This record gives sequence, structure tokens and C-alpha cells, in this order.
Amino acid sequence: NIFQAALSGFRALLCRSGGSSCGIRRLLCTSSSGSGGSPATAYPVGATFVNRNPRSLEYSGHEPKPKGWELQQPSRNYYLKCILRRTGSGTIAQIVHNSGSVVVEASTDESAIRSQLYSPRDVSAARAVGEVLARRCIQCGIDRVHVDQLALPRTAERNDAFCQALLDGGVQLEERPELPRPERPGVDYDSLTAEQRAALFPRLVDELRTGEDKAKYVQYAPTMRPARHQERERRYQALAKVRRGWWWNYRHQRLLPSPNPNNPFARATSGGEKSG
Amino acid sequence: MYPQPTATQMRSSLIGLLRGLRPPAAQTRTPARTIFMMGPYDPRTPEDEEPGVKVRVKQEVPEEAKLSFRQRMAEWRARHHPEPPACNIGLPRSLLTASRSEPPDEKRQQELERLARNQQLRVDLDAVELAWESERRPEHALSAARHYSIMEHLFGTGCFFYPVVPLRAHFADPDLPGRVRPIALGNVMTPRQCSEAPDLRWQEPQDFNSSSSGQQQQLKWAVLLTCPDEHLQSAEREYAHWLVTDIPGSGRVAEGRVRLPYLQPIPPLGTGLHRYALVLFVQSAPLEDQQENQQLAGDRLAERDFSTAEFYRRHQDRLTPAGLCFFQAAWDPSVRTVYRHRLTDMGAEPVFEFRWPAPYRPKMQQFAFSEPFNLYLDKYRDTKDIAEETLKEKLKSVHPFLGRRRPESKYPLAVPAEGYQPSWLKEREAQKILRQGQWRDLD
Repeated sequence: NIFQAALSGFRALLCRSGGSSCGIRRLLCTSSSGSGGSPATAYPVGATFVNRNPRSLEYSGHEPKPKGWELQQPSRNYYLKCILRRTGSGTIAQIVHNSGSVVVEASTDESAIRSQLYSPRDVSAARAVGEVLARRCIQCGIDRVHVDQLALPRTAERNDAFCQALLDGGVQLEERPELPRPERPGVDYDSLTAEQRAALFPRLVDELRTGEDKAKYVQYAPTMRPARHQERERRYQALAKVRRGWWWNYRHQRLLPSPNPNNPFARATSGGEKSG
Repeated sequence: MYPQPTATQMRSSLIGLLRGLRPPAAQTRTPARTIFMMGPYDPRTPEDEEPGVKVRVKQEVPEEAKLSFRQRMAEWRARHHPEPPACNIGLPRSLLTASRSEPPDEKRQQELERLARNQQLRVDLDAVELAWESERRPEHALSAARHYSIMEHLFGTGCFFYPVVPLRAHFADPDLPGRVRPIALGNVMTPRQCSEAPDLRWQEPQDFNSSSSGQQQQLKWAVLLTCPDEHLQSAEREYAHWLVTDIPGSGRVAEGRVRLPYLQPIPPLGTGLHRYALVLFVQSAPLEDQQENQQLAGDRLAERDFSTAEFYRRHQDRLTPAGLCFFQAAWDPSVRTVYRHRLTDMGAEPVFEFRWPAPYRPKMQQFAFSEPFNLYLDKYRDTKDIAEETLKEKLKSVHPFLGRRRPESKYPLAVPAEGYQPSWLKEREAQKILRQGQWRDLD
């Protein structure tokens, strides 16, 4: 499936300006050549470049955030989220990725923090844990995290001290929105392989040759198809009967079954009703 | 055309319709033990049942519904994306010495309580970091490395190691003398700040050079700085920026044997953030390999083509990864200088541009009901045709010899078109003026 293949291969696929599939940009912009030196010693540069860094697209906003969680609580519309948990024995703060893995952690379980605190669960503990977490975030290259307003309301003193410690440490408490995808019409058929093109956009001739009889699934154009449900049902029932051989009796204004079930479309030869 | 139903026919059909909805008046009261709404719609009405006590069979919960969503996802993931067997290729964790915390005395507790009560308690972050280096840093470094897929891309799927030896590396900022830029676990730096080789120090474990087996082997160190993201041809290869082996001890990198001289990060323009991993190996024997024995000048990009997994597999009997720190960097003007002047097999720097993945388009229908025909057909046009149309439209307003653009009217959207235009054409002209959709590149 090309959709799944595109998703799994969506790791900063970059194309060189001047490449074959850039369309208008190829013609209207200046492209820089990558390989220099004498032709014999020139280092060949590929037309496409792949950056494997899984966090590069999140940093620039190209990576899509998880969608569909708007009606869930807690949602997952973020790259990295900050969690502050208070257990019976202490306070734990974590930075969690939307895939569920813990990236950075700071808690009062660490003896170096606990020995400098009076209580492992109070406001000072939350503030201390926030300061330590902020420093570790900057060390890990994280400067923006998402904070769930419902889980960490800043009306509580503990949460406010924690969030303020993060801000003072240089960590912003809201992430940038992801970049809007430019809506470009059209399909780049050149970038598809032959199998992908046959799967996605099959030719009508090939479909007619290889597919089953589509006559029974004929979809009528809207102008020919009755709009109202009852009218549509009535017409289709009548059509199905006519196909089975029922005939319209003009005198009685009814559809009657064919007299000969073996050969439904044969005309009645003996004297009787006229077939209409 | 058709005969209309008579009044009696209508009344009888209405009664028949109602009979299906409501039970007859004689048996409107339901038996006491009947349960309505048992699972899906039950077409049996109470009048169909015989009188008497009925035992309802409790419906069993289906097997799929017994697990929670998370459990089902874990099962699915284990079936379709099984994790490879984990392989620890590093030093054992027992080499670390844990610091013992002193029991708090009462005076200090009272002082802490007073400070906490007045919201004045502040923790010494440097002391916390010092203790963290020896206690928690290996696990945190591993989780950070996993977050950035460093282990997977450097050593292969499933391989990992705990960075047991605390490695401290920092760059000297060339523009601000006296200012140092430390390498941590993924902090972002500019290539200009990393122009010169970093200063490395590490803490050797206590029983490091003890000859327990009786052999007199002097354990040495090796340092590798590699970037798995920079390769200009293949996504599976890396560029090695620095490789020094046979280092006698901490801080004595200059006395080691330089296989590849230091090269600053060179992430190309438009390719985003690249990762640069500094790995410290314990070297138990000299590396005897023809490839490593030649001292490369490192001026050509082709010489820096590298694969850490291959390098480690060749020397896995002699090398063990012990320390790790890494940083990230994106393009800055110093990279251009390196491509143009320092690397002899690259003339100009490569420039790239992000390409969005192709949007999903379902199979084209012969009759697309309730879809605007022009938008539907445009979805499946070839992008080359669309680009050609846009270019021709642009060239209509360009002077063939002077190259000037014909000036547009001041308020083009306010000028109505002459004659009749269907709605789809009006919208197309408006999009042209507003430079939306395919007309984005009109200027």
C-alpha cells in the first residue's frame, strides 16, 4: 500500500533543487550544482537526501502530530509532554514522547536531590525537580514541551512552582504548531513505480478485462437516479422484476410474472393478455 | 398513470404497519422476568413466548473484548513489529561506585524545614549534576540515545550499551574566548562553535588497569566522532569526523594515534538537524587492520565514508564502547567554507529543499457523486501538466524581449469579468489573482 509505504518512509525526504520532480521550481529558480573539483575526482552527490534523525522533523515542524485524540483526555496532540507525578514517597517529573517513551526524568528518588530537601512532596520539592528537569532538557536539546493545562493547573502552588522553574531554566511550556501542509493539486505520476501506478490508478481497459461483471453494480448518474428513497426502492424493485421476466400488463396496470418460468422472456402464444 | 390506492386499501395498510410496531392490546403487560435489550435487536415479541419462568443465559464477553486497548495494542505490536533481541555490547554497570548519602542531622533538618516553609529552599544544581554523573547518567544517557535512535543507527538493531564511563567534552567557542560549549545528550550547537576539536576528559573506573588475569596489558582508549545523517549518497552510511586510537589516558588525546583528523560538522543547507555522536571505546589491543593503519589526510569526503557497525564488528574483540555524548547541529555559513575550500573533492556546497510526501489519493471513481468536478479532476492531473499551465499563464504577462511584467489593475478582484462565467471559472480566476493552489508559483 503506497500510503503505508509513504508513512514509514517519511523521514525527511528531501529533494535537491534542480531535481526532476520539483515541477515549477526547476524552471524558475537557480539550482546549485553539488559536485565540484575536476570531473575525475568529483564526489557524486545524490539527487535526494535522507536525514535519519528522528527529531529533525519535529524540530522544524514538518512532522505531523498524532491526530484523532481531540475527544480523548489526555490527548496526544504534541511531540513531547511534561508530566509531574506525586507518589507517596516523592515527586517524579518526566518528559514523555507521544510514542510513550520517557526521554528525560528527574525525581526525588535521587539521593542528591532528596538530601537537599525537607519534604519530598511539597512545593520546594516540585520546584527543585523542575529546575533539575529544565537543565537536563536543555542538555538533551529540548526547549519546548507541551504541558496539559488540566493535568497541571497553575492555580496549584506546586504546579505553579514547577512550571515557573521550567520557564526560568529555559524550557517553553507550549510547542509550536506543526507546519501547514501546502495544498498542491495533482499527482506526481513520475515518482510512482509501475506497480504503485497500477494499484492506485488502474486503467479502465485493464479493469474491464480482469474484473468481474460490473453490470449488477451499475451506479446510475444522479440525473437518472431517483432521489427520494421510496421512489428509488420502488423503481429498483420493478427493474429487478423486469429483468427476471415479469411483464407489464397494460389492461390491469400491473407487473405480472411470466407464465413460463423456464423461459421467462418467451411471449405467450396462446390467447390471453397482450404483453405490453 | 398508475391507479391510486382506495381508501380501504390505505386503512388496511396503515393498520398492518402499526401492527408491526405495537403488540395487541390483550397482552401489553410483559412478564416480570423478561429482560428487554439483550444484545442486538431481538425480533421476538413477548407474545411469542410461552408463559412460565424463563432462565436467561448470561451472554459471555467475547475474547477480543477481555483485554484493554493497551493490552491489545501490545499484542498486535508483538505480533507485527517484534522487537529484536537486545544485545548489550558495553561495560558492566558494576564498575560504577554509588555515592552514599549521609543521614540528615536534626539541626540541618530544622534549617531545611524553615526554608521550605518560607519558600526559600533552593537546591544546588551543580552538586546534583555531579552525583547524577556517577549514579543515573548511564540510564538517562541510554534513554536519550534511544530517543534519538543513536544506538540503532550506529551499532545496528538491538545493540546498545550503557555509557558507564562519564565523558566530559566541550568545545572552545572561537568567537568568545573563554566561553566553552559542552557536549551533552543532544544539545543544539552551531558548526562554527565546533570548528576545533573538542577537549575530552573522562573518569577511569577504579579497577581499570588491574591485571586480575595476570597479564600485563595496558588498556588504552579510542575516540570516534561520527554523523549518521550527513551522507550525501546513502542513508545507511556515516561520515567520520574524528578517529583517534591508542590514547593512553584521560585528557591525553594528543598522544594518541590520529587515524582521521578532526573535521567540523558540515550539515548541508536545507537538511535540518544532524546528530554528531562522540563514542569512547576501551581498547585492549592495537587495531591491526590495513584500513585503519593508513593515516588519512581527511581532505576528501570519500575518505570519511564510514560505518560504525562495520568498524565495531571488525574490531569487537579489541574495542568495547564505554562512553557516549552527542550533540546536534544545523547549517551555518562556516559549512559553506568547508565545502568550498577545505574538501578537495567538493567544489560547491550542496543545497537541498524539503519535499512533502505525496498526499493520499484514493482510486479514481468513474462517477464521483457530490464532488465538484473541476476539483476532483484536478486531484488526479499530472503535476507536470499543472506546472506547464501555470508557466504559460505567467508568460502571458511577461514581455518577450524586455522581460517586464504587465502591471495588474489595482483591485483585480473587484473587476467583474465580461460576459457569463460559470461559478467554477469565477473561482479559478479568483484563485489565480490570489496566487492560491496551483497558481502559487505564478510570480
